[in-house]
Amino acid sequence: MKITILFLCLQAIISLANGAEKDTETLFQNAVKKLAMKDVQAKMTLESTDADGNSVLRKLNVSFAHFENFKKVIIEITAPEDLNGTRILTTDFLDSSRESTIEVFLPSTGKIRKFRANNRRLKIPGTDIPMNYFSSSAFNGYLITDAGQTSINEIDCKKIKLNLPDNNEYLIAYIDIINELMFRIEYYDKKEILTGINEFSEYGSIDSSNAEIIFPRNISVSNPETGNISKLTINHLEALTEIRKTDFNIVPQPKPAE
Amino acid sequence: MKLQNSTYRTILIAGTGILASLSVWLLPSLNINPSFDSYIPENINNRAFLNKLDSIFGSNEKLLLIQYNEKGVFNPESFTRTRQLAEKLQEIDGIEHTFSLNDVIEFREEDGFTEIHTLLAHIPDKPSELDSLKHKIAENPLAGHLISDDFTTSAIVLTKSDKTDDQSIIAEINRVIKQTPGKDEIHIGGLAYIRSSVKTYIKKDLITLMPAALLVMVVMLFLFFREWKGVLLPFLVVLLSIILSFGLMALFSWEISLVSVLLPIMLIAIANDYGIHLINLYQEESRKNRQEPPSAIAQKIFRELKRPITITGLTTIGGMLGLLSHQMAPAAQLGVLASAGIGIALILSLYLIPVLLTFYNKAPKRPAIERSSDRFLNKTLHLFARGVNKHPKTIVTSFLIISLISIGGLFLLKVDTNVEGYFTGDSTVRTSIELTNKKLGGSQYISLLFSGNILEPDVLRRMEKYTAQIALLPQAGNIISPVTLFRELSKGLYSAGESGYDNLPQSRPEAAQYLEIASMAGFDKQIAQLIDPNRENARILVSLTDGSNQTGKELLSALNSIAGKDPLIKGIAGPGLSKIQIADMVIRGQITSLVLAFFIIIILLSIIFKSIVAGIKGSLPLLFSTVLLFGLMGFSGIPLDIVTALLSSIMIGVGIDYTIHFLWRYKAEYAAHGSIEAAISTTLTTTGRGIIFNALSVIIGFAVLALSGFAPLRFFGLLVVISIFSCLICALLLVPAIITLTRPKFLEPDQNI
Repeated sequence: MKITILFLCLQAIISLANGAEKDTETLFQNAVKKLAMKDVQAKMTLESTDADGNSVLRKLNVSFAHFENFKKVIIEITAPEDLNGTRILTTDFLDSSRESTIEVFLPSTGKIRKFRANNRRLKIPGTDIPMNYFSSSAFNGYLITDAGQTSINEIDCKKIKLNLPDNNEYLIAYIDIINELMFRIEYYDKKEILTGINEFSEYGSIDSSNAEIIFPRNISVSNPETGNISKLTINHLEALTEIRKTDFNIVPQPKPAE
Repeated sequence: MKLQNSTYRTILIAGTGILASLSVWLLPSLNINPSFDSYIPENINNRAFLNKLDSIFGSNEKLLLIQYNEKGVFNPESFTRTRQLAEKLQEIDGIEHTFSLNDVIEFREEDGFTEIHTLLAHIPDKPSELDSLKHKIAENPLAGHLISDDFTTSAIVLTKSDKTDDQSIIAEINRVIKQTPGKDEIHIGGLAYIRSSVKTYIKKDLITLMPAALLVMVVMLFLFFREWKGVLLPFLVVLLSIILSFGLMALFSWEISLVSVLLPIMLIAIANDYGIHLINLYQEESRKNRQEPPSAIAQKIFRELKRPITITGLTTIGGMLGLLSHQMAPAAQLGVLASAGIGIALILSLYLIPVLLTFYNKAPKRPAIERSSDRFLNKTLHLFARGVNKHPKTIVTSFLIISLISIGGLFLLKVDTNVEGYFTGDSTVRTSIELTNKKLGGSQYISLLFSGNILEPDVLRRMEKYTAQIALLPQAGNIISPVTLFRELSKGLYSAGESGYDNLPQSRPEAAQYLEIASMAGFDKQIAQLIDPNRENARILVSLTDGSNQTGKELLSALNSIAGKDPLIKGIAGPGLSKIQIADMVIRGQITSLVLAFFIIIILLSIIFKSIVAGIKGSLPLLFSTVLLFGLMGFSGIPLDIVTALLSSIMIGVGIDYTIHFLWRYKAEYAAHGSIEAAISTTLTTTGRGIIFNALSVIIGFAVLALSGFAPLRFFGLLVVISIFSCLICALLLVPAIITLTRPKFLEPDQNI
């Protein structure tokens, strides 16, 4: 009898632990899903400032779409003038055996260059923001563990640690427990020195045909070591009423005559 | 007697003690600053422009980590070590950027994807791979300055933050080197390393030279006076003047620089002179009047020597104050501190030594045997007297001939403020300088800054033309140009055979988009070294093949003639060019300090002897010594630099003392004897003895500089010895010869008395 009760208690503890881990992972995945926008078009301003106060402003049109077998994000730089028309297309295949890609189109030469999306070196130009942020594969392969709880601006947040196997570098993500919104991600190197901070703020929402879309209006990426700060502001977001593959070609297609 | 008044003695001794204690308390706040840029006023040319460059591109200061192996560094082990070192160095606080073979990018097409790799992404270990890498390096201009042509030396270029202390960065680099062992020798190169070494040497010199000079002084004083008061009293004055001068330095928040190392040596050599004269006369009077108590003798020597010692002190201070005309702050500061130190020594010698002498109750011991050196000295001085009295014209003519020959040497005099020349022999600093300059094209870079529409194709084409022309200059080592960057990027965007491959962008948007791709690929830092984020400023970096002023001037002149007239060029500057400005300041400072020192001396002598003729004739020996000194430097190839530029003021300030002592005593003796010959003989054999002791103390004091780790300080010591010796010979031969020939009225007894 005693053994049975002990066994049942043990099972309950194990289940609770598993449940807790699953909750952490679920919380994280839900928060990431909110960042990975779907079927929307956004107008963004990207301001990059270095430690000496030199600032560069870019304007971007960014569209996100989910197709049957893949997800695409197209970024078109509209300002400054010299970069107008430069396009970056990320393609993530749902079939994990297919390699995600990033393509770049330079309008001045008509040249297209294709890169592997898992190249972590690739960044949004002029920033420390990894390119795969937009490809939603930013956190693929990371191990997720609970790192406790804290409060940010009187909001209860879960601290979640993410790290790649056999790598001492790690991230700490702070997620609003109730609303499942990402507030901050801190990057630490193998010496546990803070090397980057991403902050998400001013969450807003729009309605689309499928669901309410929640998004952060401001995303800030800063590097305490270099002093560089990049601020991405979503000035306008609207749901795409029609998802056309032709809108997600790397080379811009002429619009059909009305 | 005032000297025996206890209140007076207490106030004097206590006051001196309090001031000394305060100074000692302030000493720990002193900092050493070996930087040469801080010698240049902020608003001047190269320094002002450097500040502008820093604000656009970040720090301009480069360090090199040099990997050397005479058997070659082109092997897997060396490459692995390079990669490990680069990764660890990047993590050091204060290192803004590292650039090694590990960072040189190449674009490759693989299965339809553009792969961006660094040259050492895969460490080659097969002979065919090594050959392929050699080929890639040869074809990649961005890699050329990172490995020597003979493949025995490779470099990691580090960009150091301005905000970080040299010593701490070098210490961290050394720590990384220790953590990454290997078979290649590792050296550090660059101005920051040289500065750090200079700082170490300055500390070492202060610790070794000062005690050595003090010890030499103590030994010399004992040999002269053979009693401890003859050692302790002048020694005390010297020590106090050094402490109080350094206390003053701390009070003004001035920093110890390379030239400040001279201050204690100068004070040791000069400040004991007054004490020597006092003790010399004290012993003389004691021998003559054995029944007189020491306190009475002390009073007597104070009365007799107060005026001549004050005069010599003031003239020395006048010579030092000539340094105030220097634009270089450390030189002007040295002038102030040396003047203060000598003033303090003067006051302490005149007032403290006599007071302290009154504490002695016993008469000095009579020397049992006359020293053989005194007999030798007396014989020599008598010989001089005979020579002067019999052959004054020959003596003056000989001095004139030597002067004329020396003038020839003046035209050969060169100015070189190259800090690399400070290190000689097989010191580690010298080795790294040799490797940096001979194998890696140098580490001191000059920037040609272009501002405006720098991405326009015609601007890029002009930059390309300039880059090609600069490459032909023998003084130019490595050239890192935006056009090289664009050509390499084009290889990633076009395939071989296409017109755009290895070519410049054909439009401004194309250039901007090339940079956007490079930025996306994570090469912002490399781009930022050459083109600012707003794409409004670009620069070409050119290294000097060696750090000499000659090379710097020639390269600067050539760069100006190549690109100086470009409408977008905003300036040409670099840390390596600061020395040219320093050299210009050295020359100007040398001339102005000489003129000012001479002017002050002439005025002082004129006031002392109440005659302009006295001022002019009294400074003739100094003029001769100055011409001899610089002529000798010209003939022997010793350059005028930051340290040797201070020489003439010191020489004038010290050397004039001998002339004054001689003239003062001669005037008294002539008044007593009425005969020029007799007056000259007596003066030479009495005051002449003191002058020789005086000169010897200076010579021996400065000879200690032969122990310095720095070539300029060693040269300085040698030149001081030569110049003081020439001042001595002038005082003992030329001055009496001129008196014999011209019979100046200002040395005749005053008619009104």
